[in-house]
Amino acid sequence: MARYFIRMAAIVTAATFAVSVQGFAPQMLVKSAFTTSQRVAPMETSSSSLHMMELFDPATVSSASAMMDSASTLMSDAASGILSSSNFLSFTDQGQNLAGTFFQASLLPYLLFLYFLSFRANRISELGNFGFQFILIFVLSTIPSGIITKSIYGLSLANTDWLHGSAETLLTVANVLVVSMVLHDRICLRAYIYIYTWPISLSTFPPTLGPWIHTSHDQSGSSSREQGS
Amino acid sequence: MTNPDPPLVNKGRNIALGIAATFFAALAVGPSLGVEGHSPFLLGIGDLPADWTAQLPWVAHNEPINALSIPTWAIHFSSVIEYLFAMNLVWRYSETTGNESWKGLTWGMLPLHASGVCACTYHFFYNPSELQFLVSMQAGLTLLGNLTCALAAYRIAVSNGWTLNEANPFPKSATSPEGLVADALAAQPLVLNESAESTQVLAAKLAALTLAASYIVKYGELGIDLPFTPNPPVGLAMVVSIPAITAYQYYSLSKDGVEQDGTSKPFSLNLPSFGGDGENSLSMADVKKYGVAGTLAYVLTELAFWIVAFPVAATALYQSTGHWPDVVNETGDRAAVLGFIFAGANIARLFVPVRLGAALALAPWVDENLLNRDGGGEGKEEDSVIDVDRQQ
Repeated sequence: MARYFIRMAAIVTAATFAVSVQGFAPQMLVKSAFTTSQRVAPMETSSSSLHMMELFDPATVSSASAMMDSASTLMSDAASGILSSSNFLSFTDQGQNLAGTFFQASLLPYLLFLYFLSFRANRISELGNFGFQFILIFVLSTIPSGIITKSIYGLSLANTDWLHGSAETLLTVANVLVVSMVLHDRICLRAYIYIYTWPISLSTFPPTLGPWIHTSHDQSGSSSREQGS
Repeated sequence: MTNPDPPLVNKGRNIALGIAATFFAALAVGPSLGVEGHSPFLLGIGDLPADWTAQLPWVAHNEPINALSIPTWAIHFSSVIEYLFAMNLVWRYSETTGNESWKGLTWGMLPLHASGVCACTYHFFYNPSELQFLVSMQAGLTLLGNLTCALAAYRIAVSNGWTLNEANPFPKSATSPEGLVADALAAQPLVLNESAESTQVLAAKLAALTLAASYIVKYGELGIDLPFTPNPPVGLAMVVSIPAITAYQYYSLSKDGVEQDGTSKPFSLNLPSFGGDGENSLSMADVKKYGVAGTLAYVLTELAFWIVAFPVAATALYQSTGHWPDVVNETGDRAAVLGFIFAGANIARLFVPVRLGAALALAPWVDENLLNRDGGGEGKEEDSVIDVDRQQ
């Protein structure tokens, strides 16, 4: 049960992290890009920077700039910040458009998929299960790579070959893991537990399951012998 | 925990995590090491030098700067092919476990397969902003696919005894019978089908297919005009047709019930086989029963079919474009001819039963009139036909 909690906590943390990074990473990045001038370029979408937007809104600042000399530099910097921030529309951080919404919304169903898939009675192999989970790492990887391609090269991830290829490698790795789930003609984990405990478990099973399990046990017995040799 | 092969599982997991760590490390240090935006992945190993490419006989265009390198194309194709393979394995898993609901997962994975095809189509057109709808479509298909996969996994779990109580994190009473059926199922040994091919052979096949597809697409598309002007209808047709073929294969599989041969058919994206591929109720085995006569009749039928089919396709092209195909000089025609071959061959697949039936009907005639003419060795053929008659 403790493992269950730890796992759920890990998944929820990863999910929250993924969602929040998708939402706020551009803003963080813009922050770091403008640290020298200590000014923050507002992103239109991120809610937390809305009050910043009010502070640095070019329209409001321009009216104030007549009174304050420093405000004029503030305004121009903020305005250029807005201009450059429009370049930050990268592959994963497409918060404003349809694709971004779809990508973000697809996380929850995928977590549900992982939960139901790994149900113990489904008897999915460990490595295959891990492969489906590994897709999350791929999704996670496209976030920093999308940001880097935009901020450093001014390109989209699809046009930055080396990062495009390396990020997609993680997807391939996940697929290889998934494919490996049935490739190996090996008996999965549960079979071994069963073989070691079958005298006990046979007696506790519902009687209707008895013969069924017995047949399977015979098969697995022979397979395990083959494997042992 | 006991495990059939703990080193294998741990090794696989560690390798995967190692690759992920390498990726993040490269991401962190790459830009500061002077890696450029258009630097090819894995140093572009396998890419042909630009002057070689220009000398290829069919090349009519210069490669755009954002063209995918061979390693990046290879990664894309291996992802797509492995996903098709995974869909196939999940389908077969339903036979291994005797639980039909696994087949639902194959159907659930279909939108995600389409999503991958979407991305590849976008890259085929060199990522133009005019085809941005493909990116939205990819995202939409990802959402749809995750929903259908979640639904399919839910149905699998329910069929194996999942109830809402399973989601209750609090410990249940030790005397509660809740979940016993699931426990029993979970404890059941699972004997997996041995794959017909060894892992090495499969890996070699995958690598060969991936590399061939990468080279054909990367350098082949330089010979046609199509990818150089964003073409939404063609892009959409590519995204629809390839998953449609995949879907049709599983549709016919579910109608036929059981796969004809027990061997794994991982690469379900078969290019048209010029002949019967045994997926229908009539198979080559039926024709082969007639021995030489059957084979000869089959060859004749195929010849007759294609002698008619090629002019029909060429005429169709003439009707739609106003001129006869000229693949040597007209780069635009190449795409059209390829499209016609692709579409035509898949229509031709629908005629496989007709062709096999015609070959079967023709076999006795061939046996009597073609093989027995010189009177030599006919006894053997007759025997084989008689044997078949007796068997029936």
